[in-house]
Amino acid sequence: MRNNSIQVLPPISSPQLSVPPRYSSPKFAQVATILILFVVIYPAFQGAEVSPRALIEGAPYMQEVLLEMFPPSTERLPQVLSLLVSTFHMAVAGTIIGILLALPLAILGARKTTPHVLFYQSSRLIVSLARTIPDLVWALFFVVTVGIGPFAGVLTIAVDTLGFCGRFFAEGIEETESNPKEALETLGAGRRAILAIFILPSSAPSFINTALFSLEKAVRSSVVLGLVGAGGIGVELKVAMDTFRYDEACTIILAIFALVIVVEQVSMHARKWMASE
Amino acid sequence: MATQSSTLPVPGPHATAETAHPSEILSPRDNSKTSPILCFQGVTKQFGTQRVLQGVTLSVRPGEVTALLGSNGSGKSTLLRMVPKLMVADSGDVQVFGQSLSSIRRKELRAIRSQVGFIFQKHNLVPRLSALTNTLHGALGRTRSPQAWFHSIAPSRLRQEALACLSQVGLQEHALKEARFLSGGQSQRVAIARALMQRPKLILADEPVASLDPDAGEHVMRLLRTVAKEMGIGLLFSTHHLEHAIGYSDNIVGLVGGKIKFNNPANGVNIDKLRAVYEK
Repeated sequence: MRNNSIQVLPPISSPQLSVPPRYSSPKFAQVATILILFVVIYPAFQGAEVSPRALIEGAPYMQEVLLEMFPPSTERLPQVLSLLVSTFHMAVAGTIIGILLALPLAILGARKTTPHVLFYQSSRLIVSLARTIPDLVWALFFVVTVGIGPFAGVLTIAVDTLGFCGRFFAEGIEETESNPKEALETLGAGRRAILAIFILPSSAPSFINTALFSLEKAVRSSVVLGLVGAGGIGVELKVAMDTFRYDEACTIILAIFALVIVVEQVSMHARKWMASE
Repeated sequence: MATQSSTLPVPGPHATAETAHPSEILSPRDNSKTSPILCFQGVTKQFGTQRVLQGVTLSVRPGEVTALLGSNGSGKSTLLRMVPKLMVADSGDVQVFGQSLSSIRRKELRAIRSQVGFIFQKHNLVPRLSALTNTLHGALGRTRSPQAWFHSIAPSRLRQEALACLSQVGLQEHALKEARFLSGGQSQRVAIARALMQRPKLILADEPVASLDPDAGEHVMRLLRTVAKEMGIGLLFSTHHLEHAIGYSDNIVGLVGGKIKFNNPANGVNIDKLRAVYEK
């Protein structure tokens, strides 16, 4: 058997086989890319004052703060839990509003469903604007316009969700198959009918997936919105840190951690269940 | 394929239903006196420098079954897709139900489309909707209201009609099953039920059995011929199966390089003539 297999192979020193070189000389484009990256990366580290020395010098203070954090204080646990629930409510409400706003924008902003190029461009612009401006900037804007409190946070999350879902919902629509759409067109189905009976049902799994991701994202961002006065548990964390109540801050951080983990797990299982359906 | 087809039974004039070849289950009507429901007149089509159709002239009458034979790229699909105006001819004319498609309005096209059943190679059902709802979609061209969108909101008469169409293809038991869980043969039968729901005068089928196993393919072809003959529907289907062309059609049209090489009755057709379509 072994002899047979050797016989069918050409001799090792066969002149017909030219072994490719291990390394090839770098092309000009590769060298240029590396140089450009270096030109960008080095000043970035310089400009951001990245300093290992400062990190080493700060290490004892970090240790001190961490030691003060434990054991976590349970003194204000009921208030913390109540704020945690309010933060979750803020995230859910904001996500739902954002999804409801994102859906029509995605339909207008997908080539397969847009009625006109002007609608397409306008909706893409709105979605890009919502997505590219950071949520803390939106939070500052809403705190100034509607006042301090959870409603500013809800609006911030809604805009952030609109940006996220608007983009991915549109991509979900674009990814739908073209053949059933064509078949429905040959049946004489109008644009509205095709949207209702094919595009939306076919995109639904992708929409739900995106919506669950955006809920996870909203829960995480709703925590920090409080730092600028947009409601939720973040404000409690800021007060605890500012007043050097690190043990209380630790309780809040652990509560946030638990909430984010629970939402992520529920969302992950929901997505898995959907994928298996 | 060629060897197989040389032994194909050619339908005889006195066969019974039990012993009959499929084409004799329902004997062909004399369609020569009825006016055509579909006419291609000198149709040409070019993609870039490639001439796909060159002066094709062809007609289909009510209750007449016509098979289109031709190798890949011979223009079969292009010809079929011109009927619901998914493609437009460069020159020549396509007339459906006596109406020319060249200067047709959107509303008129919609009316024509609603009466032309199109069966695709891969059924093209909406995968997440039930067989019943997919069948119901055949009524979309008849109503602008959402009545035919989903079976749950459809009026009883439409639901009953859709179920009757499903029952005609033997799938009433699977009415509530989502299309994505049906087999290839079952899906194609739902596509036929959907076409029947259109109350069509003409059915076009683009290689309807290409993705099916032989048994399912025979079943689908038999079904298509039966509905065409029973309901007086014109049927134009493309295929690579010589035995299907002979067994299930009244006329066979051979396309070679976008031109009609022959257009003959299926009864007593010369097999070598059919094979010549595939010779390079």
